[in-house]
Amino acid sequence: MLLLLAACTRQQEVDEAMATLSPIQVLLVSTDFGVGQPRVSFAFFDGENVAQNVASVSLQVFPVDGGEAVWEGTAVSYTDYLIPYWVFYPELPTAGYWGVKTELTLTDGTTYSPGFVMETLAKTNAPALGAVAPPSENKTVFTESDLSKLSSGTDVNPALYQMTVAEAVKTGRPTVVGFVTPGLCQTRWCGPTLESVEAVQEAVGDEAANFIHIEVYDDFQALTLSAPMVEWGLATEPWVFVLDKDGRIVSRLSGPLSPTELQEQLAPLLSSGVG
Amino acid sequence: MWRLSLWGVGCGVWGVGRFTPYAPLPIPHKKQGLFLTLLLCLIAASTVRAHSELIRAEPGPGARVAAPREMRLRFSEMVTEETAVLLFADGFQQVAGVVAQVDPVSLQEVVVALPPLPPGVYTVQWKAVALDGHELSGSYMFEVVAGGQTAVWLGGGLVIMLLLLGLWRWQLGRR
Repeated sequence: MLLLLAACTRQQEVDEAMATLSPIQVLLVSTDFGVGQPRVSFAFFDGENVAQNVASVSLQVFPVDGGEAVWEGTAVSYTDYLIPYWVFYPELPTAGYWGVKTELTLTDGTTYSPGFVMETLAKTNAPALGAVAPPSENKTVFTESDLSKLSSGTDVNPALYQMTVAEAVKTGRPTVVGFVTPGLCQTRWCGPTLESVEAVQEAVGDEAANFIHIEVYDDFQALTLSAPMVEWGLATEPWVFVLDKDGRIVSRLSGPLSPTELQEQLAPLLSSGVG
Repeated sequence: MWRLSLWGVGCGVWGVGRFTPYAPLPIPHKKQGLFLTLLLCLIAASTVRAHSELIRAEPGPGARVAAPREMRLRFSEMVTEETAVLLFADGFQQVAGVVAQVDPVSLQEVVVALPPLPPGVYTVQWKAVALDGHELSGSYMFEVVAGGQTAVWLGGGLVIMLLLLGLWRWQLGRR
């Protein structure tokens, strides 16, 4: 009987430990993090399904080789994308690997603490914040009359192919440049990003800002990268950049992007008049 | 063994890649046409649905297990050898001796050989690279419990002992 009691007690301890262990999976959905204050986005999954019931997320960032937290704060949720995702901007002073402890609270009050690891680069692959955007001579309706060659998507919107980046930065308006391949990556991780760009274009209007879609691939069969992808040093997709009126990069947004988040990034350039 | 310094957990999303040339397989000549057709269909399919999501893992998210000798991660798409798995102990201390390999029988599955793991909570960090180079990365946690299985065995053994005791008493009662 004593043995049985001991076994049951041990099992209870184990079950209690299990109750605090997160069954949630964290998917890191942005990339190419630079030193400083990179935008880091992630999503929660419970099994194969998106965890829809996360109410709040706080985070702490640690060096992976041990030591005190270098940053702590909260993440912001964006739900107007196919996958609800979270974004935070940690202050990471050096290049290297960082352990991120999250504490998420579900709508029923349950808390979990899943973690993940991320890397910051001394020099990012894609252009850094503050850098002048490469003046790409991307394809437009004026250089390519066949719309099906401007985008891999099926419902090509000509409004996104009216000017090159080189032309856009001379207009005195802020510019949104999206590198997306809507027809060749239709999964929830990238396809809807172009729809977000189009939604903001409709909301803001062409008079206030320039909106440009650059197709990732030049050849949709051989999958050769388009020249601007190489020029911008992009090894992943999708990417959306927001440029100020001088062509400097003020937002670098990789991975899923909701219309709300894009509009938030663009808004200061529109309202302050300094864009 | 995969390279932490090269893949970078943080760089694990949507890598744009080219098809990797594969070594020719020893296929009978008459079947080569069919094989190539199937391969092309496969590549075409992977082009439009590229991201390999984790659909099953052993141990899985939130699992409590006795020290496992290996992990198995199954993805929604076939993955390449660039697919990688890292393991971190408490305090984000990287566990050495973790070796991940794509299962040659099922290219959707990655088998991860593990060193002996002491009790504790572990964070699994994975990066899946699909055939067309698209990448996706994620993480989850499981716990290694000392005696977790022992407790179960102990309980089971006790039940059997009690049954045997009852049987013995029943036999005595019949005499």
